[in-house]
Amino acid sequence: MLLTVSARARLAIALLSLLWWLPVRAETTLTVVSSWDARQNFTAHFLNYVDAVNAAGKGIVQIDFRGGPEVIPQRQLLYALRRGVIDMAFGGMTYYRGLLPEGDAMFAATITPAVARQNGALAALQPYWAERINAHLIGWMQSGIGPHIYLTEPPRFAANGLPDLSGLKIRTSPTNVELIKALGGRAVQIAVKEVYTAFQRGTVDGLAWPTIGFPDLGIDEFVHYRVDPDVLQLAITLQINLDTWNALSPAARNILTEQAILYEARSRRDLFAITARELEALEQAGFTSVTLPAAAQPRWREFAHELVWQRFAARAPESAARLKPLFYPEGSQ
Amino acid sequence: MKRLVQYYDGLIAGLAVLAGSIIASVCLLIVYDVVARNLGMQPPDSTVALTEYAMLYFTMAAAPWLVRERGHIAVEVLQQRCSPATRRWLQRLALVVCLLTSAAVTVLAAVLAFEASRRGELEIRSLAVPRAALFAPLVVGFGLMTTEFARLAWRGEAVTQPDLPQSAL
Repeated sequence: MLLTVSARARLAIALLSLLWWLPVRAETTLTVVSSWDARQNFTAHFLNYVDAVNAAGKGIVQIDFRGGPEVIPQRQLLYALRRGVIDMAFGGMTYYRGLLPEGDAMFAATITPAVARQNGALAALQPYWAERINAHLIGWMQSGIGPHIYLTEPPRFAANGLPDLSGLKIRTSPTNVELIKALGGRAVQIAVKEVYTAFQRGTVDGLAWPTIGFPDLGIDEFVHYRVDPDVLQLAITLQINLDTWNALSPAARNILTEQAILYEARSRRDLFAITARELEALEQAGFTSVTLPAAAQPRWREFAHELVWQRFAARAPESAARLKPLFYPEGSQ
Repeated sequence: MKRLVQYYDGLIAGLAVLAGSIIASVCLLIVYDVVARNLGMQPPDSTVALTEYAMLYFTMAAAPWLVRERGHIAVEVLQQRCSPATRRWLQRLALVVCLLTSAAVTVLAAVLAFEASRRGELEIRSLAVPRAALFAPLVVGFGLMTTEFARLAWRGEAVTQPDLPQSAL
């Protein structure tokens, strides 16, 4: 007898555990759902990241894009992520302020994602992501461009050089309500699909809208002016369920992170290019962009950013105090 | 005990009245919103959000009363085709399923409400509401439906047919 019974048993166990080990080494597929559907600007561009990971991660990690709000309702996305219904969630932090107020740190930041990685700002967000939504923040995927104020009539400016919206009704999402009110305007919340009718009937005099996607609204027959420059910036992130992240192999984690770093720079470049292209097309159609005097621009930016930091501090004072010097260095000098 | 039952019956009926008044208010709100918008006046900021919350609240306020009135949807075609004996069994089965489902949803909603309130989560739309306020009506509505179904079971009454004699079960 070559092997004793117990040795045979041990060998069997060793072989079995090898089988157990094999699938762990095999390719992991992660599901991702977005805040918006696949044709929407931000989601459509994010699919570049999905493709990049799938190319770099052959045999290690793959991403399966499942769709947008048709899969999980927009407002439920991060709750689904927290419970592990999906592995990853991509989306605009503006929808999740009630759950994760720390998203405002990126919205009111003046730094780029690359700087946020260097100075520890991104790392400082991880505890909040872990505690509040049981997730690891993979990247600040889309950034840079921010909301503009679009108007039917030429913009007026107050004595301090800031836009004067007094007497005007401005359509906005909940994200920019504070800004519109602080400029003297009346913030009106109307569903996107009703924006055209609102302008047609004169219910509103303008809207706050990100730099991208304005032509898609089809309201250029009513809206002819835009106040430049934009202020604040996109806070669109990708996060992964923390338990899923912890179970991933180091190789898989590296691919997800490295591709996110590349993508953060690429999306920023592309979004700026799309913005410039859209503005050019609008201007050819008779649209006017009115730029604030150079002297008033820093005040304009500070005004808008401080408002967001104030609302963030009112909701979560400790995290705002900790994150502000990292994301908004100018405001803390 | 008799006093308690009176209060309880009053609560069920009162919630039904509340549901009715919410439905009426929402109708008026929508009419006002549409009229104001078309006259170029300022429509209220939160009509859509209020309507959506109202749908949850009036459903939950009316549901326990509907159990009592046998107002919930039932597939009568199926019942009519069954023999009286099968029908009795179907009725018992439906009652057990309704009772267990209501109890399970009550517990689940209570857990979620507690969690949302402990974490201080908000639903920020055109108005900011504590997320627990989305689950609280489920706790009340399904909780009272549980007691209503239990009451039917205790009395040996059927879930769907108010005119079914009590001896049917």
